[in-house]
Amino acid sequence: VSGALAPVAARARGLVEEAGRTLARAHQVEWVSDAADRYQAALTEGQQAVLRASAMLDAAQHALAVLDAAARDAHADARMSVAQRLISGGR
Amino acid sequence: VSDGLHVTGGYGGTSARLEDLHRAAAALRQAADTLADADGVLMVAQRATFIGDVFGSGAAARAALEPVLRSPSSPARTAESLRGLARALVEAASTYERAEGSVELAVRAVVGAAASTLGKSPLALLLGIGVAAHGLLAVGLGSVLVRGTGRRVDPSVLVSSGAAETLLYGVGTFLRALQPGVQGLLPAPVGPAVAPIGTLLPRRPLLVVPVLGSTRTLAGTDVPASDADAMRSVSDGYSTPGAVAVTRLDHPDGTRSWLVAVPGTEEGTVGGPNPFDMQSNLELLAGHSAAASELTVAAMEQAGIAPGEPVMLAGHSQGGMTAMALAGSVAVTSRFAITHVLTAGSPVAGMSAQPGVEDLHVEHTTDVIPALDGRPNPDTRDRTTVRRDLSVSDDPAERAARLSFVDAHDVDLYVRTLDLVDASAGHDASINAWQESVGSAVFGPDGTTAVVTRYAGIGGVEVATLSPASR
Repeated sequence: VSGALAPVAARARGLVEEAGRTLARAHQVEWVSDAADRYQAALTEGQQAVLRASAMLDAAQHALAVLDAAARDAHADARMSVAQRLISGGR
Repeated sequence: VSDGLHVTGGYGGTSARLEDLHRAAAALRQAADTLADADGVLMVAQRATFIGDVFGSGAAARAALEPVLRSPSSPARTAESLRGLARALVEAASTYERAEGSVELAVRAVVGAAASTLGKSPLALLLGIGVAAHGLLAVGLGSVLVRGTGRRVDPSVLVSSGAAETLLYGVGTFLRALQPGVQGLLPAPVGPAVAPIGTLLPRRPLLVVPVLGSTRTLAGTDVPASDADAMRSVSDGYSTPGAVAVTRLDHPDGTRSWLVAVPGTEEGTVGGPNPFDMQSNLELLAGHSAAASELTVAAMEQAGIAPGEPVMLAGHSQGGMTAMALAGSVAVTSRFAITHVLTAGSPVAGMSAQPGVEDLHVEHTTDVIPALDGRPNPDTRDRTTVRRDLSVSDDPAERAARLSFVDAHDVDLYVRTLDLVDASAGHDASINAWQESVGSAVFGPDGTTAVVTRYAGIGGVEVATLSPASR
């Protein structure tokens, strides 16, 4: 797990943001009626959902980045400890 | 739009709006697919948390991903709701498409089936004569009714209601069914119905020459700057029979554009010296090469229109058919950059221009000539049709013109209608889009000057070509 999940979350976040940009194109409809109003409302709700997902992914990415860094530090400490033990034993 | 104008097609037309809806639905589906990809990536990340330190850092990573995956706004759920929205949008567009013109289509289906069955019957000619006789009888009874009751039947209602167009659709389908082989129903059968007549007409040689002394330089308000001005140029052309007017517009930045004004039928004969005769009408309706088209192309060549210079073709009646025939020809559009076609009182529903050419068709609701094609003009993004009901005009003379088939087709009345069309751009998206396009590509900014020359065509004149041996 260690050191690998934050970039994956960043990739997912990039895709969600791309979906948001695509959704903006769906707003470009010169259609005037009650149904059109309902469509625009549903589309706006969809865009807000995409924004919420993006925000949640942002938070997840940060949390995972912290975990990734901690895992990297733990691995480094473990490697250092093993090395020191090997050096001490060698004496 | 006010002033009795009714606009269909073009930028703000039904077809363009439905295209918008389908494009929006495609964007929604694309966004949903991208969100589904994002969900796939997150699932991979979640599975990875069960590898290695499952209860330590793995559990912490799962806890970080949990809110995204379980939220009502998760990529997977949002993708699903967007797909539902796309389906609803496509369904709405389809319902609109089905509803649009369904009654008219149903009537046409009945008329077409009946006319086709009649035409294929062994007694087709007899039945045809019978139907025609009943038509004449109806006209006769109408006359008796007028004398007996003093109440005049208004024949213009036949045209404005669309009955004449549907009737002509039936006649065209009947005539096609008379032709050998299996003849399926066509949306525009009139042209194919008269096509055999077009092939019987002999091709006539044509001499095209500039009209001596016709070249004039225009400046100020004389420079064509609107659709009405373009049709005025067509109207002026009737003063020189058998001629088209080619106007070169010199823009202040040094670029050039062109206005080619083509008049309508000037002779009721066939095969005479004037290219704008009944022979050209039949040939154009049948989709064949016509002397009127050949004259117009020759005039454009002699005027020196360079490749890539924007060209607007404007025509009244047969002139509009000529313009559409040229704009629909790959051979012509590969030589000249025809960008805009303006027609007035022309039966052009069965004709189409090459992609990228914008068309504006103007028709009076009681003008019978545009109804001769037997169908309404197609509603597409590139084709705007403006129909004007003269009965609501402020001018008593225009209201009276509605009742006369000749006056309702008058070119100068179309010029006045185009004045109204030009003034209505602020109220209609299709007219506004057309005006912006033709204004920038053809008419140009203030300070544009113009030079107009007329070119006459003389049918039946062989031009002797000198062989190398005789030089």
